[in-house]
Amino acid sequence: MNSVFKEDVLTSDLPDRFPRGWFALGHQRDFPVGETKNIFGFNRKIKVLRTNDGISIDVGDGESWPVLERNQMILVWHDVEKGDPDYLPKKIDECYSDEWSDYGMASFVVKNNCRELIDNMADKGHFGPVHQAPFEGFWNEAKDHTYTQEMTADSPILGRDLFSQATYEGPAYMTTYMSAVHDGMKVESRLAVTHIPLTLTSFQINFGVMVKKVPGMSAEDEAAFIQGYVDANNYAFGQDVAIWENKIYIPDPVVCDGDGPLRKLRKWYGQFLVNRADIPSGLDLKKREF
Amino acid sequence: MTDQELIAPDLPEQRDPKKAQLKPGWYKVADSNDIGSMEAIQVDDFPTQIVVWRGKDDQLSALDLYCRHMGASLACGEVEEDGIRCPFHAWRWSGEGSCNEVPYAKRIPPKAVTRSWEVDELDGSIYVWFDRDGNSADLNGERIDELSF
Repeated sequence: MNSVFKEDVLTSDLPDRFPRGWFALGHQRDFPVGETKNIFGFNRKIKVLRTNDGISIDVGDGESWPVLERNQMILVWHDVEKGDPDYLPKKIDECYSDEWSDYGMASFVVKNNCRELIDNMADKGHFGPVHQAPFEGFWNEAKDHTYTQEMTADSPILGRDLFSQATYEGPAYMTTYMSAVHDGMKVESRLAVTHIPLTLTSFQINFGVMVKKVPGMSAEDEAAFIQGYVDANNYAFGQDVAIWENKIYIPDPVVCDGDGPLRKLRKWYGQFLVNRADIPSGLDLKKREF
Repeated sequence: MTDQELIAPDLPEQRDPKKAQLKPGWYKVADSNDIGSMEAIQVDDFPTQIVVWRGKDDQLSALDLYCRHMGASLACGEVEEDGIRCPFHAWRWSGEGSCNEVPYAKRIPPKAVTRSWEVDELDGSIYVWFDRDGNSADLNGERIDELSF
């Protein structure tokens, strides 16, 4: 037996909490006035009631969490310290524009801790083997509660001449601007990749896709086009899930040149898993290419 | 499945083999025909989870199941030559437990090493050597065909 490791145990502890931040519960159209919806998240039942006066959240035990309706989504602020929100997700003009479609939504459950999803932001090396989408350029930047990835690629799945800029605002709300060429035509799209943890070992991804309307396109064609994008993203996530549900978490990975700033990203994400007073300094990352 | 199993599953782990109170010996992990040419299987009924594959020239090899890089299951990867390529970042591992190719890196980190296990095939069965104290395999060692955890 080759014993190169001092510690033979490769199990890593799960986080002791759900992260602090804004979490999207779903698209606003799915929460009609006068209806109460029950959602499972954060290992509890969450009642969402929309009235003419707005939306209220009941998480039991007489607790109520801050709620926000923004960019077509209903978001709640989760914070074990029960503090006020530290930031608000930025408004995205396209979510309020007639030139763009609404979000087409889809969701699925992943059996692992939600931190697995975050690694993708810095994980430059997985795009080729997992998504058959080798990139050309890859940039990362971290600033306060935001983490941004920019990428140029040539993807048989998501489109040729792909440019994407994806930004996390907090641990669970990511929005992406994307442009790609399909059949010789430039297509601009926006993604919202959000998730809520169900328990410490499962989470639900709720993602939305909207496209810039093409002049002259019928509503029917537009719906089919958006669905095509939803399907393409579902397919790409399916490739990730096959990995996520059959892996362990390596807390301190051996990385090589070309791996992207995985350790830096995980430190940035760690700020949402500790009390505010315990957030270390030096989490920002100046934008650079990897 | 209960709701609890659906939403609060136990996550995979790479068990510590030293915790297995087993005598040294060759433990049967599969029948010979369970692993075809250039195929890999995952074995859970062993002191730790392992991947066992049949590479070039029908050579059998075994490593800890989970990739030391970012933790993916090597059993979901592809057998290539006498090694196995991880499905997550395409690192290729030799049967001796060293990473011998990272497609996107100029340099392979010296620490990119995992634990390898000695494999032997006899009379239609595939055996993997286990000794808690780390002594190397003895071809005359005891064959243990039944293992239950």
